[in-house]
Amino acid sequence: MISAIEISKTYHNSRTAALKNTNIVIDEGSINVIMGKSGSGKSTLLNILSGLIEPSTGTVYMMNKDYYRLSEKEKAQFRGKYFGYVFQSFQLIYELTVYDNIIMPLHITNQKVNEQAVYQLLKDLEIYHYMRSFPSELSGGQQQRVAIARAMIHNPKVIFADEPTGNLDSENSLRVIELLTRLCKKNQTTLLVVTHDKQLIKNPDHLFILKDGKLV
Amino acid sequence: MKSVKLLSYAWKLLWNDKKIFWSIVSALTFILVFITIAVGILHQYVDQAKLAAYQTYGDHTLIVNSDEPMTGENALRETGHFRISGNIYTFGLLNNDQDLDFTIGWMDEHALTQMNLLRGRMPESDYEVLVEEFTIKHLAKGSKQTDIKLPFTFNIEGEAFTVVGIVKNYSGIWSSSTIIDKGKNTFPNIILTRDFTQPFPDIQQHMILIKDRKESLTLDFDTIDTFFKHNNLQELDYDAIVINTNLYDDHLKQVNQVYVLTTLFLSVITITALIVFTYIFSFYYSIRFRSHFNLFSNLGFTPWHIYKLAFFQGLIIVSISAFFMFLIHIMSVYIFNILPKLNMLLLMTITLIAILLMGCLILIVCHLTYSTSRDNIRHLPVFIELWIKNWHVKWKLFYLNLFHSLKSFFLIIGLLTSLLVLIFLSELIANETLYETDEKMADYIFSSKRSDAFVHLQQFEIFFTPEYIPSHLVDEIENEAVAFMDKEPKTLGTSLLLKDDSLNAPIINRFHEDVEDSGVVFTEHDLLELDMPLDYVPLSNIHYVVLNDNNWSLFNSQLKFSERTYHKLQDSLSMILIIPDETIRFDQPDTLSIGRIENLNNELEYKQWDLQVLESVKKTIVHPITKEAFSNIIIMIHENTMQKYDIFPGYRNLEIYRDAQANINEIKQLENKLATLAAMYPDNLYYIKEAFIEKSKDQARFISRLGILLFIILGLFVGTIIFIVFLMKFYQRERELLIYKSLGGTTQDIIKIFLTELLVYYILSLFLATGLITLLLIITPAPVQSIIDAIYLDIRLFIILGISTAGLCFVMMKKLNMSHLYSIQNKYGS
Repeated sequence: MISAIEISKTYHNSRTAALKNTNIVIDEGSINVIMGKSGSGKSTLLNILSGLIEPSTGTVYMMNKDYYRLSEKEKAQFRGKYFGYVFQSFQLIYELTVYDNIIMPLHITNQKVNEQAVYQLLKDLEIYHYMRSFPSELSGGQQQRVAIARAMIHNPKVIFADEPTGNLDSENSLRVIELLTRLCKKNQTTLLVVTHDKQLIKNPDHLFILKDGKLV
Repeated sequence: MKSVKLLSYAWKLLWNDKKIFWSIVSALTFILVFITIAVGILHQYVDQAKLAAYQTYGDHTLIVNSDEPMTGENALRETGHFRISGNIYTFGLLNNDQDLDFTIGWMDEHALTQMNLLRGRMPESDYEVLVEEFTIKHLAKGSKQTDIKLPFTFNIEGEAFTVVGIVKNYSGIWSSSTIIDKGKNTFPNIILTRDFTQPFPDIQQHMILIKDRKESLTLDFDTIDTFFKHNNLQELDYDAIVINTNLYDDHLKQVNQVYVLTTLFLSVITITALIVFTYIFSFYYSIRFRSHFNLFSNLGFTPWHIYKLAFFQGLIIVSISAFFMFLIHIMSVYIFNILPKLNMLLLMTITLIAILLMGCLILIVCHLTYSTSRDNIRHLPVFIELWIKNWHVKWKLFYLNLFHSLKSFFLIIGLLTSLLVLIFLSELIANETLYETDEKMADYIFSSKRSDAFVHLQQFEIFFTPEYIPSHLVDEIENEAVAFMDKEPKTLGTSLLLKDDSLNAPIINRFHEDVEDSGVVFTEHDLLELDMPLDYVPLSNIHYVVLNDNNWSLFNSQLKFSERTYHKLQDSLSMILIIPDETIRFDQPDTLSIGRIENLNNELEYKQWDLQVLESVKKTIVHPITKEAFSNIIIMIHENTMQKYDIFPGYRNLEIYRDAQANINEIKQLENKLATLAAMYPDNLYYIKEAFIEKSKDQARFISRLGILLFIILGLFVGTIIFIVFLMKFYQRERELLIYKSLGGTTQDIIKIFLTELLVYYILSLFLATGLITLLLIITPAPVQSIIDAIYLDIRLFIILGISTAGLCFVMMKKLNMSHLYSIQNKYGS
């Protein structure tokens, strides 16, 4: 599904490499967790794998395509079709309703909205009753569930989640992760989660631990 | 809490956030400096336009012709509204058997400063004089102009005068003291010192030049009337008071328009600057300072304390900016002192500095905006949120993009509108001052300074100067460098339009009442003596237009005659009659004819031509180059007809407009021909007004460069403001736009969304600006002519909007990088 070969990343304002000659393979439909201490390079790895940051060296293959060699337009199409993102700070559009936020990816990629699928997803994530509410009217956990729904509405192949529970309390964290993993398993969607909480996802298919920019 | 303590807090808060503080101060200083520069340039505009007016027409408001000069002077001296600023005496000078009219007089310092001293010095004592260049050959008889050494002496009525300086030709014809010729000024040919008080008892005329103390741009006839009545000046011949209407009706009217426009421009620019400052300050304030104020509020500050704190912060920023502006203003005074020497190098340097300053401003604002932007700055009123709640997401986003904040929306629309109005006003100011001076003035003028229409027919000897420019010589002047040539026939001032019995009273009243002023008076005796038909009434003030292949199309664009008419004019004894007053009716125009008085063997003789009136038009037409309306009856004759039937012996005045595209060789060829022509008539007063034209061109070039400078500075200001305002908008929505991108949107898609929004802003602003401009044109005396250049205005406008929009797109393309999504996650937080 995704394979990264010998990827390294050194930021232009830093002398040391955030990520060093790392190789990683992500299988289709698997649940993957990347863990590590602060500054270990876990977010850098996720961002490289999710196409947000280009590695300094190395190659990233997504669906057998060298992602960073694709044109700007192809990358956008790739993101719109195959990727879903869940951010730590939700990144919702606060002037739009929950429903509008969720169907945004479909609107951007000019796909038809399947109302039933949207309703089902809202029900699965237990936010059906908040469909016409604005994000600011919801709790943090509910907002993150809206973000998850937005990430899943177009049936992506892979969901990237960077500290998705970073802004939530423990109870909400467990609830959100449980919903996320359940839906991914149900839809055979690959999940790649960065977290520093060992207890967050029990029994992932793959657990990658990073230390000083290297997988251990 | 005491105000002093609050002031101290305000200062500390600002000082501890140095980056923001200095950036806001810099931004405000830039704006204030821009206003200062704009004010300086606009003042230069008005001053230059005023100077051009005074140099062309003289700066005197009134001229009083007095047979009892002392009475008039005593009555007028140092009165409330006006002051005596000069005296002029006319005298005749016999030179090569010709009696030539000259003027001698003194003028005050104000008038003297408007003269260009070519050689020598200003007069310092009695009987020392300055003279115009052309007078030298007549005053220093027998000497070549180039050989004359200063000082030299000449005599007037037995008095010896010493010429100590020579000035350029600028004066008017003073042979007619009751008319200030159009295009001529009120200065004398020979200038005495200010303190010269010796009377000239033997000189025919005495004219007192009177100047308005207030140097007003408009002529207040009521004040003049009241002034004369109030000061008991009835002893002066009221008819002998000549108002310099040329100055007021023509040039100062234009200066007045420029003055109104510049005032308007400055008002709009001040409002614009205020909006810009409010926009930038409120943006930073809402982000940086608000947090401080919240904290103070929690610590127990009352709302009044907070307001005072904010006020003090604003006061500190404005005061420090004003101080810097003052320093730069002192520097700018020096710059404006050297502005009259404004050359291309200086222009480029100032432009470069302006570009660099604007660049710095952009960098500062970019940096600040980026570092201070935050998530979710948009605030929609609840009723709008509810209103759009059920809209399709596509329309909802469009609406949100546009009206994300009503305050911001109206601020941007208001700002863009005022910027567009500013560009229009600057264009209007440039048009008013630039084109009038530059393009509407003839490059070369052959003009006889003699007035041949002054004398009364039988009461005085009528001058007959055989020296006119024959038609065949004029034909030789025509070359590639000539764009247009105004040819004034040698009519000897006696050409007439005759009427038959059906000519009605209004025509006589309308066109005949000024006959005495024109200097030609026919008595019944004259008519009999000259053997003129008695059933005809002579009309004066007829203007002749000599048509040829070159100017026909220019005149005919207003007349719309067929080519057949032109060929008839060319081949037959015919004319076109144009009557400017539509209320006047010639009952039988085909019975009219023209003729003139000739001096044949020292005998005056009437000669009549039976010119057929080919076409008669009741319409006011304008000069195709100067765009001035002809107020007199016009007779258009083809020059072939003129020559073939010997209607006029030649031309007394030639005004030659040079083709702007002509090359140096063609211009040289033309000037050589003109020089040859001038040399052929050495004893006459034909002269080339090259020096005057050069001066006018210099002035036009200066004004043109000022115009370029104003446009560059304004263009940079407008472009920068548009760029900054929309960049701030972009940064406010950067997070959201990057989310679109993460969800599959391309950079092009996002830029398209943003550009659509920009386009709506531009269109709405254009509509509003058009409305405002229409209103301005209604309330200000802006001429329609200025609006005709709308295409150039549009081009400039699109260049400014295009460059700032392209710059914005470039920044967006750079910033809409996916790697930024990662960086803004930390920056924006939730």
